[in-house]
Amino acid sequence: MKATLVVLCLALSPALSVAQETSVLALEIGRLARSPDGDDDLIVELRDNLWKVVYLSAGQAEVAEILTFRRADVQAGAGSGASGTTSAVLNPLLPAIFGVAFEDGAITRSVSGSTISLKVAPAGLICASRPLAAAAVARRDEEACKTLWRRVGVTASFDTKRGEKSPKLEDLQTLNNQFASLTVRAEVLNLRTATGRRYIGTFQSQFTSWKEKAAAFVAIERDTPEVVKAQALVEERLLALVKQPDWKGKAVDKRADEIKAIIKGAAALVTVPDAQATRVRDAWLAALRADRALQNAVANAPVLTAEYAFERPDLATEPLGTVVPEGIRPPSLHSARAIYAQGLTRTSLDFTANVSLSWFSDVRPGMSGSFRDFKAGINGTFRLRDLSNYGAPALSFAALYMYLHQEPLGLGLVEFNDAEVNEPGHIGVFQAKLELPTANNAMRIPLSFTYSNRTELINETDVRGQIGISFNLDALFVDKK
Amino acid sequence: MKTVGLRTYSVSPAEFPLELEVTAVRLPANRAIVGHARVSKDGVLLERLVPTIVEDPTALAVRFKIPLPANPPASFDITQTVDCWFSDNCPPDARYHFVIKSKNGDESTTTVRVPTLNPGAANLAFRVG
Repeated sequence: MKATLVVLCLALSPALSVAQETSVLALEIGRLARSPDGDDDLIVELRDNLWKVVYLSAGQAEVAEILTFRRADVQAGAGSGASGTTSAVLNPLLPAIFGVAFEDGAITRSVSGSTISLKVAPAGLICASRPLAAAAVARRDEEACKTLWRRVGVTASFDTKRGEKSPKLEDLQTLNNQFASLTVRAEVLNLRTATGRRYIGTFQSQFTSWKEKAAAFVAIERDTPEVVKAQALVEERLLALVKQPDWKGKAVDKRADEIKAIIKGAAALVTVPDAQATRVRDAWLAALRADRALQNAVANAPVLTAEYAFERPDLATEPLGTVVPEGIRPPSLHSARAIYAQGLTRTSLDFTANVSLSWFSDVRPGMSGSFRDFKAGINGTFRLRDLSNYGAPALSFAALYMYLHQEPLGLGLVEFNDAEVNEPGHIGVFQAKLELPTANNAMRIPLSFTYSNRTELINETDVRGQIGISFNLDALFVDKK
Repeated sequence: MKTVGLRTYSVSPAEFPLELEVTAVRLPANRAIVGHARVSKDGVLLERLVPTIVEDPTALAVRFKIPLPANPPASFDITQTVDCWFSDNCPPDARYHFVIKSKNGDESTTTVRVPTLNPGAANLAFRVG
């Protein structure tokens, strides 16, 4: 029985190895397969990277180690103040061009409302109006929009449920009712987008470490005479392949299969001594690890954002205490907020902290001054491992403390629109949230669990689950090549 | 200098030194790592030339020269590997743009695109004679 198992393993292992080999050139193969003219530059990049297939024909465990993290810190959902939101603590970064988010539907008995938010970076839109610049702006390309205003974002939110007026308010304009808030946000500090000399200076220790290891790797003679022969063979055969009369007419998948066959065939002719293969893989892995440390340092760099928000409540459908009679709009609300985000180096944990202050635009009889509330929140986001072709899911935990000085007068408290707080006091909120990416990260699905303990205010404990869908339209502007 | 193949150039001794510039495009920093220039004849390594790299972080560029080896044979080859490293979250059209200039002003270019697995390698070959 034991002998049978050994034979089986010997028979299976070469096939497994071959199946995995060309995956390390997947992008390069795809580019050539999609090229009807068989661009020389696409052929040569396969030739010059053939060594990856050769040295990874064994040692696939090392390949798995180079899986990297994607940034998961662009939030397309409504702000924490909007109804039906799945966000307890705001994220400091705005989508670069234009994000439209629609979140709807609590999974418990209460549906608090629907919020459509439009997020615009004015400078980004101005720059994106130039031909070919839209995709670059969506990628937050610093070169695409060289202006100080590129770090300013404006968000306007509209609550669609406000259009469902009661008969008593039918004479009022729907659009005017739906306007909920206007937010201006500016990225005061964002080291995650550092470039050039600033990039090297900011991440100096990680950059130096990576550079040393990358230099040690390039110094190794990885192109042995056998590898060079295989490279020449790949070049010759690929050039012949793309010059075949039927190349243009073939399906992309068929082309890709033929390219893979050529690569596998050439790589199979190369025998690398174990010592040489180990030396190359060890140096490569060391460089890749150092590169990952550098990427993590960039992803975890601090971001500081300042925000001002103007919120306009809906017309009162019933009297709000003694301050706002029925059919009258409560006073608008101003809020100032600072948002700070920083990751912990060598981890996948990103912290975000918010502090905010809110005050009413006017003081009416029955109000105890203009001050409304103070909030402080902290959020920890774990960037999970990448899902191939999808992006990285993000698991976050948030805690929020609020002090409500007086009645909120129509705007409710931001996290619990379906459990309106009308009495002053202290409020604590805890939220756990899992954001699942979809293809190309164009849509992320947040699942959240929120707990609020404010029994001294409403004599009950409220637990609410929320499912929302966010669309990040930036992804639609990114061209594929 | 004439392009005679993929990233392969025919150069006369009078066209040295060759000047190379590698510019990072759509990347936060230039992370091209230039290997030694290997001088060989008929596949036998004769000499390694250590490049002197001039970095220009503002332009995201690195520049270096390949000199004519001391006591060169009548004909020989020079090969050089440049490893180009890309950021995890770089856009799909991020790239490294190479410009190779000979002393008499001839110019050739090549491009390294986002690799599946870092680094994206470019093997440059110069046939001298």
